[in-house]
Amino acid sequence: MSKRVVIPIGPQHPALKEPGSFIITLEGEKVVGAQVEVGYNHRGIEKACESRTYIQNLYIIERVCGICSHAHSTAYLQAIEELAGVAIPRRAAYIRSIMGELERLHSHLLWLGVAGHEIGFDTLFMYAWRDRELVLDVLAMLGGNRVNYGINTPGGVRRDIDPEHIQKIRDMVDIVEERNKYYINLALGETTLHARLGGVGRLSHEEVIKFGAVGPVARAAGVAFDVRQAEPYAAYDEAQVKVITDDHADVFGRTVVRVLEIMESIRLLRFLLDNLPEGEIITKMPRRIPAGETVSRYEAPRGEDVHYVCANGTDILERIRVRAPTEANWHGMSHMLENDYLADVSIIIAAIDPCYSCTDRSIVIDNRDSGQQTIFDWKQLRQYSIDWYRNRGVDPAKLANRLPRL
Amino acid sequence: MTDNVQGSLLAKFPYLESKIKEQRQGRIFLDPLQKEQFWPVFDYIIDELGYKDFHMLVGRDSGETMHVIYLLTDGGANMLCPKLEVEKENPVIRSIYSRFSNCTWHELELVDLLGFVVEGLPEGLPNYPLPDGWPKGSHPLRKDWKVEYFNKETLTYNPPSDI
Repeated sequence: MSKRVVIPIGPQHPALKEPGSFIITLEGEKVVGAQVEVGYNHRGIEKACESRTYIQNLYIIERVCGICSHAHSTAYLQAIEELAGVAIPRRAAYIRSIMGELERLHSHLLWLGVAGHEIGFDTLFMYAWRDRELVLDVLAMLGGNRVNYGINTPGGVRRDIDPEHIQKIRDMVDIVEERNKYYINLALGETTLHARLGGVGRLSHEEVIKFGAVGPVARAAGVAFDVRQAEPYAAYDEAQVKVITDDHADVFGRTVVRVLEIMESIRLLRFLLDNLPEGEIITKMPRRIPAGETVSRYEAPRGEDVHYVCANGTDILERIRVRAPTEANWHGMSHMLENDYLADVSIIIAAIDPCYSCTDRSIVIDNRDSGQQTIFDWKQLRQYSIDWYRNRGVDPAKLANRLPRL
Repeated sequence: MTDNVQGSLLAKFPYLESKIKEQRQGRIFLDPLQKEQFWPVFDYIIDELGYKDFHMLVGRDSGETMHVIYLLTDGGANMLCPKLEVEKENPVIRSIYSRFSNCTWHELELVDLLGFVVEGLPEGLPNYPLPDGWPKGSHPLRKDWKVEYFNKETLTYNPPSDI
């Protein structure tokens, strides 16, 4: 037996985009054991929700994840709307689905770029992230933000979609569809990608069931489960989803599933825009959420997002428990890493598309009067944010003192 | 489907009478059960009713007692959630690791955040999700744990002595 070497990777490491710790045991270059340690990002969100109102919680829950912000806020609202016995207007349901598919588009393109970067294919990284910007521009147009769109509200959505928006979404979708065809050809026809990713990070159909993996990781092993199809929410009862599966059961399969899911999201977006019903976008909610408990499920870009909500009849909920899809996918990670090579570790970890926030970025503000652009640094951005709230009568300093913080 | 499930549960376990709540189609919750009654029901739900997919655990501080809710699905849209009740003074539960190897982090979370003692978890697991050095006996998801008594600089929890 070769001498074994233990290498700690993380919690901060150039090959990782988020704080996770991986204790890798090697024989030569081969991984013979892997231990995953996470929890570095625990922010006490569930505890925080137990001392705030349902509306305040919406903004906290939306920030569980930057990329899947709409997924979490929708899952949370579905639960409290169900407890309140409220059915949201059909137009609102359609808008939630439209935002959900746009979120899936940008998330999958983000992942494709990260995957390209991890295997040294930085052209793919740049192409995919260039295309993702088109989706983010549309999301910013619809919600006012690149992530954390704030479109959801109890009883419906806060912003309507007008014909001008619809045309811009259609234009974006046409471009992304054309470019995604290139990625599909790359995934299915280019031998380099298959040679690099085929057989890497295997998790078979049986192992997916055993470890409870979800989303593209499960579908890439032939598990044909998608919450949008199994338990339709929002507008998915009408916009019926074709579940994309593959049988490679490795990182290559996860790539194939995601690029094909981009096409499916484009098809769904066109259906949703073609059939967007007229009418209200919000309905009245009762002042209090009645006591009760339920579980809401949502197909986030990374897989099934589950929210358990228990209400006690007051303004403050009794308990909320969020199981993000990444939490489900970590369980099989040690198994995926074993018997592969050290050089594959970063792409195997990246292939489950683990969550991290992409909100920490510089921002370009267009001055509409002068036409000039300014790039904000962190200090200026913080001051801009404080001034923005002060101009609307909210003093963040006082707010910080009023709310207990973890 | 759910009528059959309720009928089967009641036929097998008459003590579940009035303890089965159907929140809606595909969402059945059982009222909290003591361990002697809980584990036979739990096994039956999985082995006989086919709810073989484990989704997550939810720990809950319910005042006098502590609850653990097990979210199980049939691989599709139907979810059945039995609840285990234990005394708050002695919150000892049995691990479900022998059935579901993906339960570990959920159970570790019960230990850190709510102060459960989970028997049967594999040895050598790291603590999760609280950091190393977190004050012993301080469990943030317990209702009597207040954030204002926690000093995040020194990682100490200092409730007033009269609490």
